[in-house]
Amino acid sequence: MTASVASEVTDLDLVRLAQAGDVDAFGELVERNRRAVFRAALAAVGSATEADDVTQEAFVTAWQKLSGFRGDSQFRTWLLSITWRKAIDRRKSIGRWLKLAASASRDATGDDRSDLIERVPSPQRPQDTILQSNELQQQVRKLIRTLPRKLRDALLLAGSGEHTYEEIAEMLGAPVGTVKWRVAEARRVLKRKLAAVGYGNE
Amino acid sequence: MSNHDFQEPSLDDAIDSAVRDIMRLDPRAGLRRRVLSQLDAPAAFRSRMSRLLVPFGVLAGIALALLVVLRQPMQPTNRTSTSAPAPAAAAPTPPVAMATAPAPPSSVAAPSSGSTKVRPRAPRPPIAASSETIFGPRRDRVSAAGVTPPVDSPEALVVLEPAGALPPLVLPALIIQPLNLDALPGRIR
Repeated sequence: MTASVASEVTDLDLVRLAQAGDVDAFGELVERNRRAVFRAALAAVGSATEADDVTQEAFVTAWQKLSGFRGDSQFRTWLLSITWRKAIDRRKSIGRWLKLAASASRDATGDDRSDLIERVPSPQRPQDTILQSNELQQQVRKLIRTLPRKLRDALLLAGSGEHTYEEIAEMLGAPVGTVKWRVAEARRVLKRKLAAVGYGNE
Repeated sequence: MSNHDFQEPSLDDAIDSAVRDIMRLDPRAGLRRRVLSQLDAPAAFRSRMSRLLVPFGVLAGIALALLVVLRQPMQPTNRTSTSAPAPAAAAPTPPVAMATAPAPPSSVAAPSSGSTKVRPRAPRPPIAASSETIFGPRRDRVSAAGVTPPVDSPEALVVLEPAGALPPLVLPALIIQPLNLDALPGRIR
């Protein structure tokens, strides 16, 4: 399928072809939605490797369930919902694994670090260090990991540049207004934490 | 105010930049190939076909049921025609016909299949023959052997073999006389 022809064909046309068994049409759907699917998975699992696996699984699942897609919603929205469910399942399994790992580590070292994935370095920093912009960004990235999951998911999905608020709302199963509130709240929490470590106003 | 005089806009920029940095990654190359290699190619097609085949199967089942229902009225007809000699033997038909009626074959009397079971009947001998057995004439049947042959005189009474406990029916002989036209009144004539 050439690029000019592919751009004229809508997702729904490709879905109909794929439902009739056209694998190439589904391949075009993969190509069109790969980034949005991957970044949704990345927002949930936080690891590119895990997100890759989730992306692949999501597309395979979408193919298997394609006959059930009736076009009531956008294919992309439907696909992102599948992706999000897969990603959340993966995140839960990772969380279980990390808890086991943390438990083993605690047993071995006697150090109580119950939450490795969200553990934040000490906010203490040398006063004589001049913080550069990239240093601030590093701090922000670390603080993002400490956000409550609902706030973090909304912030990352909204900031990915790949998803609309409607798509995010569909994925998270929350109204658009709630999603927007979560994004704003995530920013407020981050600023408060940054202020607590010496950035900006308290 | 901290030592680092970061203003709100710069913090917002830093947050946006950090989020973009986290989410800037792309999937590994060859995703399309990897996904397509995992597809059970005709899965969706098969699923779609199965959805189409289900109503087709239902229709085929209905058609089969209709065929069976439509064929059922024909089977009693066939059974009646094949087992006709048995009821005919019980009916009061002329003895000659009964005597010459062949006994129904046992294979025909037993239906091969069907919802109504018909017990195979033992072949009956002709009535005329059975009326004269070693035990004597049978009284419960009207047969040629039991009927008194009419006498030559028209005045004679025709006496029929009694059927069961009923008394014999006595009928006067019908005498046919020629019409005497001269005896009639002149107006009618």
